[in-house]
Amino acid sequence: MITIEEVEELLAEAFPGDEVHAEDMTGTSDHFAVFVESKTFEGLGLLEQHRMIHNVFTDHMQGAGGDIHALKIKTQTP
Amino acid sequence: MNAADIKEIVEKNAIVIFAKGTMFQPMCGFSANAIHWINQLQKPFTVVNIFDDESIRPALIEFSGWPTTPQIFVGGEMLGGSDIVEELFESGDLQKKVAQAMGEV
Repeated sequence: MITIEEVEELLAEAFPGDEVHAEDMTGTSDHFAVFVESKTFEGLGLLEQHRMIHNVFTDHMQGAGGDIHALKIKTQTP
Repeated sequence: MNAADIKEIVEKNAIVIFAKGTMFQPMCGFSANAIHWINQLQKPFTVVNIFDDESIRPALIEFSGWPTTPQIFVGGEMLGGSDIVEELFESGDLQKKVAQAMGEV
């Protein structure tokens, strides 16, 4: 099982110094909503921004043997 | 189905959603959300249920390089998943892309 804290830790590692936030959408520790506000998104399309979030969780997705079924993603620049 | 088949589908249809489930019976909240926003456009669109055949999902991932479903294509371009489509609808960019794909502008 992966916790909200662990999800936020992974995001904080990938986006050091940026605002990151996670919510458990269903209370079942497998559907998370994640929010990241980062300068690194500047000039990138939404597709690329979301891809960067996917990359953080690659090993934690159910398809890869992890716990996460789905992510709702919101990205923005400061 | 292979990546070439996916390419053919997204090039022949202006709006395509690869979803879990069907237009009327989505099997996942994210697929339902994607269908909801595309439906708001009031334009014809195609839903491909990835559960129809087990070869669809790997072919789709190979073609787009995107790991999750749903995936929404407009004019052959992969826009992303349900969150992106929702944002693009709200900003009006989705409507622009669709008008372009349907040759309305």
